[in-house]
Order: sequence, then C-alpha cells, then structure tokens
Amino acid sequence: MKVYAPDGAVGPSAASLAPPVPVLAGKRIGILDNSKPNAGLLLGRMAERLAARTGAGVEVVERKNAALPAPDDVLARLAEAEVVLTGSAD
Amino acid sequence: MTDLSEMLEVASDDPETLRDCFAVRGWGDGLPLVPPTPERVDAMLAGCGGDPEEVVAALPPRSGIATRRIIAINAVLAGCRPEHMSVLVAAVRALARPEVNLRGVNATTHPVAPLLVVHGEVARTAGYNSGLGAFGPGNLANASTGRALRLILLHVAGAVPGAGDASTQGGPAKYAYCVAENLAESPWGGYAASVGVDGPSAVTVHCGEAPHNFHDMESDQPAAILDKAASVMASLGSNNAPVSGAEFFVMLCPEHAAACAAAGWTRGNMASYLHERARMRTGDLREAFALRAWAPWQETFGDDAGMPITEHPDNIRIVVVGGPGKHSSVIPSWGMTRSATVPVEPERREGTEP
Amino acid sequence: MATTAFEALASEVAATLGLPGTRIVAVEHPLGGTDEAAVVDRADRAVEPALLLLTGSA
Repeated sequence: MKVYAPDGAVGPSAASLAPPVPVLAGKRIGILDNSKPNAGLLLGRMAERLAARTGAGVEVVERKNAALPAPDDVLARLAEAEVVLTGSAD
Repeated sequence: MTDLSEMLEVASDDPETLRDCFAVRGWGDGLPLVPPTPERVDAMLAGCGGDPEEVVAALPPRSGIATRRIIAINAVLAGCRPEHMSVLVAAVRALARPEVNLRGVNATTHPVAPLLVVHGEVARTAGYNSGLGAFGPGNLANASTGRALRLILLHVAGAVPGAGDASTQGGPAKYAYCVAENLAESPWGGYAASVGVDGPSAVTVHCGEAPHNFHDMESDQPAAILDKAASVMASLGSNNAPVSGAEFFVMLCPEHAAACAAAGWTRGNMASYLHERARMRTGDLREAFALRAWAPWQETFGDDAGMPITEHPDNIRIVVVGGPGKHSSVIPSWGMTRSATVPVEPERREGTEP
Repeated sequence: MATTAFEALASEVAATLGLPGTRIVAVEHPLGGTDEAAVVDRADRAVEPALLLLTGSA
C-alpha cells in the first residue's frame, strides 16, 4: 500500500561555505563567543595561539546570546575578519 | 491541485509495520502510527479546507515546508480527527512566529516543549478537554493534536534528538503537550481576548517546561493561594531564574480562580501580586548565575534585596484549566522565547471566500 | 568549536542549515564546570587541527 512521507520539502538554503585561507599571516581572526560557560576562554586562547603561530592578529571579539541568532551589527563586524572561531552547543 | 508530496510503499497497513518502516528513516516518535494513506489524508484535509499545497510555515532548523497537506499527513499519523486540523494549522502558524524563536526551542539542551493551549469555541466543538485531567491522559483531541504537533516538529522542523534537538534528558512533554482553556469557568473571560486576539477560537503556544504543581486545599484567600504559586515560580533551577525577561504561565484550577475572583482580584491584580511575591535574594541569584540575562535596572539591586523572578508583571500569564479540586500549576518558560496567540481560522470550503 | 559530546549534533545542524562539511574541531566534553587550566589545555590541543581546517591543509 502507498502512504505519504511525513517530512515534506526543504526550503532553499541561503549560504555556502567560505573557501579556506591558505596563509593566515597578516590576516584578521575574529571570535564569536556564544556565551556558554568557558566558551570565551577556550576561543580566546585558541585565537591567541593561532595568531602567535601564523602572524595573524586577533582583531574582532564579539559575544552573542547562545539561544538567539547573532544580531546583524555583530555579523557585520565579524565580516571584517578572514576567519572566525565560534562554538556550537554547550 | 497537483499533489507535490512524496509517497512510499509499505508492506501492510498494520500500525507496527508502518512504525518500523518509518523508524528506519528516522521518522516517528516511537509509538505506533496510523498509516497516512491518500484517502485518510484527503479526509483530514477536508477538516480545514483550503489549498493543500498552501505553505503555512517554514520550520527551523530543517527549514521544512509545512503545507496544509504535510500537516494533515502528520495529523493522520498521530490519530487526529479532521476537526482538529484547523487547530493544528493555527498552532504551526504560531510556532513560526519570530518571537517564539523555534530554532532555539528545538536546538537547546533544556527539556522545553511547546505547550499548545486551545481557546474558545473550537475547544468545545472539536472535543478538547479543558476540565478534569485536561493535561491528560484520556482525551483524543488533546492527545492526538499534541502528538501531531510533536510529529511536525520531528519530521518537518527536524527536531530529532541528537540532530536538531539537543535536549539533555528530553521530557514527557515532548510526546504530546496540549490542553484547552476552561472558558466556562474562567471568571475573567478568555485568555486570547485578554492578549488582544478576538474571534471565536484561538491557540497559544508557550515554550516551557512540564507543569509544576502547587496546591492549596485550605484557603479561600487569593494571597494564600498565590503565595504557593510564587514559591514554585521562585525556583533556582528553572530557566526563568537567570532569564528575567521570560514568561510564566500560571494554570489556575477553577476553584482557585473562583476564590481569587470572589475577592475581586483581576488577572492584572494576580500578576502584580505574583511579581511582588515571587522573589529571590539577589545575592543568591548572582552567586548561582555568572551568565544571566537581566534587565539593566536589575543589576543595580544590592545582594540582600529581593529580586523579582521575572522583570515585569506582564510576563505572568493566567489561564483557567482543570476540573474539581485545588491543584493548579506553573509552567516556567525555556527563557529566550515569547508565547504567541493566533486565531483559529474557520474551515474553508471550495468556492467560498475564506 | 564543539565538545566531543556535541560534535555530531553540530555537524547535523550545519548540514541542516545547508552547510555540510562545516569546519568543526571538537574538544573534550564538558566545558561548563571545568577549571581554567583544563580549558586552556583543551584550547592548546585544538590549535593544530583548527589550523589545518582553516588553511585547507586537513
């Protein structure tokens, strides 16, 4: 017998992945802290070490509420950086 | 109208076969399902009329497109009757409202589930239980509509545990969470009208925890009854503690509601009283939550001041639910979400104006 | 960045949002309730895999 699938179509996807940045020297590293406990510490330390290793600079540090999308002005400032570190979940 | 939905072939029409066939694809809620055959889905669609391919909402995180037909398919799976369709369509519209923040609701590690409250005429005509045992079990309309809404979240929104839903423990309210307002015994009129949604029928979605009970068997004084509610609200463990902008739904049983109304208290009076009484020591909250979402004025409080558990009385919503007895409940919010109340559209018939 | 307990969830969510293959580095779970030295250690050990993913050498 035939039955319907229950999931339906998926809406269009609005984004694609950015290409990698082969050389980080002179580039800007951004941080988007999702406000979860220790996220800022982890991301900050990683960005510092990445910068020290490659000659990049930690230029933009932003914070967002974990439960909400990042506001447009935060995203606009992060767009100045070539690479951004952020966290997902707890 | 072209039918755009995908079909699949199953070996037999028994519910267990369908459940297993769906489970392989990551569908279903673990319980047996009613097969969504074209005949059943067409009969379900007749319950709300309109164009089956009309897009009611796109639901995150999957960006799944909830058409009337997709809603009807999930309603069949859950065991709904056609008269529940208009409620489900309204519920999906409500969930998609931006203030609900469904993306966050579905994604969080908290055990939040959207509570669906059915208001007005449709609660009576479609058989929803607003009285004794309203939160369940035992009523087809409440159980199947609540379940259908969860199936839509699983299938269409992609809120699958471990994929779109990170809830640490999950929760029983994530199976079915639907109740009707006891309008006949609400001394202050219907909740929907109190938030500016007029019309014969409406639904509210409030993304919160499972109900937290409070009882007062002895008093007929509003303050004594509501002090119990306040003590349940002022809990260090609920998400409202660090998120002061969040709403509480206080589901008053008819006897508690009648006692408050007899003393002349309005919804506004009760919300103000609860706002005043549901407080915790500011220093205890500060110590417990380094990460907190308080309004700027709240940060100025000294450690020994009593901090209201929610920043404004408007965040305390009062709905009458239940039957005889003196048990009421508080439904704390997940936090970063607001409830939404939307009208239930009357059934649309071919060739008639909506 | 994700912790090991949420790595699969992070990739599922990224794919659901139309970004399969999102660059994710996992560190040991949990972060909440973990002392500063242990978090710094997790960060230090994540630098190399992050560098490989960001520069496309992974």
